[in-house]
Amino acid sequence: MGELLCMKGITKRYGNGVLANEHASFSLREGEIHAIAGENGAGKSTLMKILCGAQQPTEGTIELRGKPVRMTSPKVATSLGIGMVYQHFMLVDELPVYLNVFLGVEKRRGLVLDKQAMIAQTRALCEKYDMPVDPLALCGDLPVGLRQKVEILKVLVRDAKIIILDEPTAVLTPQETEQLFKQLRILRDARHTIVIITHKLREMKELCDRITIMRHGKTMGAVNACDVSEQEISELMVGGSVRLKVAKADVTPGEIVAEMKAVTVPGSGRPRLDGISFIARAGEILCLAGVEGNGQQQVIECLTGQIDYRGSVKVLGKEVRGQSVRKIRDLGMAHIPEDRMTMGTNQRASLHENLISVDFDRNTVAGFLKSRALKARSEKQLKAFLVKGEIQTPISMLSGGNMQKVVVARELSQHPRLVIANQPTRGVDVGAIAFIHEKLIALRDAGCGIVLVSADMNEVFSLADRIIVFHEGRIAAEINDVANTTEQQLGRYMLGIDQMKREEAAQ
Amino acid sequence: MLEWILSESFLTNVIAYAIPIIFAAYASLISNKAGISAINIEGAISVAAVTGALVSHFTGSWVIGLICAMSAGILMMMLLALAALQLRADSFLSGIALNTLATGACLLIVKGVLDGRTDSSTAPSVPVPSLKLPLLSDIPVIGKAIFSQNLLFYLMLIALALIVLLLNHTRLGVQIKTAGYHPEAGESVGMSTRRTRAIALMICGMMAGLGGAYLSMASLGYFSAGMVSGRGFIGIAAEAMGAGMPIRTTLFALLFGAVDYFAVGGQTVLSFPYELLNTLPYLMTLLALTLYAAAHNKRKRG
Repeated sequence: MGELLCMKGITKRYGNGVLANEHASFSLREGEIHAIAGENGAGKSTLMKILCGAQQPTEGTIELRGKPVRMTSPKVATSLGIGMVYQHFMLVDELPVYLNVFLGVEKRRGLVLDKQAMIAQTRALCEKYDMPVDPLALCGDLPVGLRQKVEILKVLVRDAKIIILDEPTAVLTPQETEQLFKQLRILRDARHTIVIITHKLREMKELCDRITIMRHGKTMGAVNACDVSEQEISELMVGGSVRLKVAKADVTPGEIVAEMKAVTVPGSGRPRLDGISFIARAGEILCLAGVEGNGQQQVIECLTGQIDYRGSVKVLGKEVRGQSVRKIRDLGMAHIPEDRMTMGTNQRASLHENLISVDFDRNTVAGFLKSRALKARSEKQLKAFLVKGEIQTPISMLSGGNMQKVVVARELSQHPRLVIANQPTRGVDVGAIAFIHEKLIALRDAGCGIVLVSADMNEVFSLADRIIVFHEGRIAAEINDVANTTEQQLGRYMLGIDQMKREEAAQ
Repeated sequence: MLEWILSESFLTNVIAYAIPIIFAAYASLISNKAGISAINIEGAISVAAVTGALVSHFTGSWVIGLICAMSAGILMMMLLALAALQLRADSFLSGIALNTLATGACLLIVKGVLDGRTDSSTAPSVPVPSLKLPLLSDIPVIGKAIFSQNLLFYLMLIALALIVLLLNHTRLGVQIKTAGYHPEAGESVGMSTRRTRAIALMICGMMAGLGGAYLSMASLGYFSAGMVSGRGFIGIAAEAMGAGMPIRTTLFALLFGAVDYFAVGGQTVLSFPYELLNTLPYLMTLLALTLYAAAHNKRKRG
């Protein structure tokens, strides 16, 4: 009944073995607003990219109006009336709005562009859907909210009946979000079908008719938005899965290894960090939890000397401001960055070169590298961290998990006093996760301070001695008694439903 | 000296010297707009010049010579397309290699075709005629400088008009700009960046071909090895200074043409060591590119 589109048994396995979707299924009814919900890395974006032809599934079928279709390219999807509004806008900043709207489907009169017709049609669409966009403005001059509207116009002008929006509110202010929702409702009333990818509970309840929940690449089924509470959605998203048990000795916190005092980092609109203060001590794992984009990233960037800030940030007793990354590292800080492909490793170098990249200049004799000693050390590290690969193997040949083990091996072998671990196990297979966890705990037991950022609930609960929850650039909660906190409660802090009072947090 | 600069022949000669630079700048403009740098414009001009000279000489027709010169320019750019677009080599390195290839190829062609009949490094041509527009050419000063120029000068004006039209009023223009500014945006709506860039390189080759034809079939009545002498590169610099805007690019190319002529013409007029004068165009290029880079960085930061 009214089933417009159906995806069945979709599996997507990437070249490096990462399983993004596993037998996921999804169905869409005509004229509804449907949310795809799930945590980061749950496979929402991949599933939608498959739907709009940007990626090909390893297995699975798609049916549109009961007929099987193959989305071999975005062009095919467009011709079938499916359009995608990407999170990172696909606009040519140097061209005016109307040419962006008609990009690839320009109207012509003879050989020459029919500018008047395109401008008029853009203007008509703007009026019809109540979008205050000037067709003649250059896209690069528009604020983010309007640029998104241009993307939506682009999809509309191609006659899309199904419009997919990838995290459309991630870049918007609350007012712009309100505007967007209004427009999406107008579109729905004009018989368009809308899919939004999101992890914000409020949006699902407020805007959507139905919700498909994803977890670990699988779909957990679809529910009517009015039938479930935010609480229930978050439980489905996070899952009541068993915590990975990691043996851990009791904490014996030592000296302060990192400290932030009233740190503010401005952003466009609300500040990215808004008066953050906390301390991290030696011998404990402090976890910065939160939905992505709520300030954890900026805390890491402050601690590792990558961005400027107001307030005071001290790492191992020294103010970070004005110091080079090298100087901060020399104090005894190790950093496992979030993105192993761009920051964590040099993709064009070998395992050995990656392993020695942080300290090769300290292992020289008269300006020459102590090659033999370094090679022996690299071999030892690879063995100790169970990396599948030889020292001369190019690192790009490795799977994600092994690559991450190389990064972890390099960073943890520096005898650090403070480890900043940013999503250390993202996209890594289960075996490697347990291994990396063990290593982090061993370091903590040896008296090293660890600051961990993680979006993975399991990881948070199995590692953290203390949790600070971030929401919209502020600290929503500081949890000292991790063992007696439920995932649901943590989820409520992360999503901003609950907030710990200052006094409570101070205890 | 002032008298010389203000003379009627000065302006006429400046334009004459600027024409090949302007064509080179247009070639650079089109390829850069599409997001691929064609450093081998220099070599393409050279190959086009030798082709135009020889073909016109043997067929006795400057028309066929001109067409073949353009084809030769296109061919050289298609080699770049093959290397940089098809085989994904670095466009800059491929361009350098193609320039080297062009230098050798020109000598080889002249020697192979004309050996024994004339100086082995020069090839005679049938010149492209000049065109004296009635009435207009009687206007003082600009009459001679603008309205009784070589046919290729008028082709250059037409090329300018066509480029402006192409970039601002055609689908191909939108495709070229998209390929240059944000290729992913184009790909996401099914445009082929590679195809667009290949077409842009064809136009680029055509422009380089016209520049080459001017050198060997209008400026001089023959091809001689080394006659391009950096004009392709100077054209690329002029385009960089013009920041991709057709009119501004033309004006900067004219300025470079003026300096170029100043260096040559000044040798007889001025009492100045001609070795130093000869360095002027290159010093100018250096200065221009430094200024350009400074302005560019400022814009980026601001």
